[in-house]
Amino acid sequence: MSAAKRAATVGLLAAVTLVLSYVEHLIPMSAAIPGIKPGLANIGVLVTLYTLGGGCAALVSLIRVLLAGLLFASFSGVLYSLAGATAALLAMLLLSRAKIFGAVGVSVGGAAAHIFGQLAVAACLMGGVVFGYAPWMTLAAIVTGGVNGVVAALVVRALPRKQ
Amino acid sequence: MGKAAGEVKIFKKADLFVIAAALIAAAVGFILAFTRPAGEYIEIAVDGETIAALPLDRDARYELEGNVVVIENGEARMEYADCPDLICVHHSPVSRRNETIVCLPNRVTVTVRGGRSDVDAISG
Repeated sequence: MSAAKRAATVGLLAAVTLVLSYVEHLIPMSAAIPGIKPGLANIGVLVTLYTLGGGCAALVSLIRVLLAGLLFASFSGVLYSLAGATAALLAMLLLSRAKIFGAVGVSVGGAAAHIFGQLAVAACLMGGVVFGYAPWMTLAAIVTGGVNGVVAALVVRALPRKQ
Repeated sequence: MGKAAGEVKIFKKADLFVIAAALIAAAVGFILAFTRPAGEYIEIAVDGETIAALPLDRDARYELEGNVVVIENGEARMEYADCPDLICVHHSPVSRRNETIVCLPNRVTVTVRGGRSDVDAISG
């Protein structure tokens, strides 16, 4: 793939990922269980990871966090989002490099890492206070991460093989 | 370039290890949460600085700039917050030691303190 085509593809995937963030923002999730969200944007990051590799996935994730932060969140929101996204990306890179995990395993690992990244920032800002909802969030990560992994794998399969 | 697109497997056996690890982490969290002793009072803090301590056995209502904390039937909850996400308001009431309700936007924390071992420490 040429550099120009790759740049264009990263831009396109970042835009799709940002839209997924927006869709998620429209769903009133806090009404159900606080702190639990579907993490739809991770579908875009996963698809990038599987089609363009880790570097481009990191770029898409960073663009998504910064733009979503500017559009929908506050400064502390960006901080949490960045911590979660970085932890998730590292976990997904490691799991996908290991070659023994499928998209579901990579995605669930990313979702769980996202929670712990955010809790780490919360612990720093709040002085060791940890959310009582962490176990619930971890259980939810198995479900949402699993669903996102299936969707991402199906999307990657549906894409043309040689781009 | 990453791998060719066609290689992506939805599920492999090793994924079960990832799921099992997450389940174990959640189980440990639940066990830690539910084996905590009951608390005796709550500390309300803004930016990490305690501004009030209220006993849990007396119904009360404490108003801050952007939040309202209510104690009812031995449990504390956030009744109101002026932030848009309202995560703290939807948080279930707290009564066990070290349970916390956090309002991130306003940097307000409500933490349950005290319990048997504290009383022992004071009386001993």
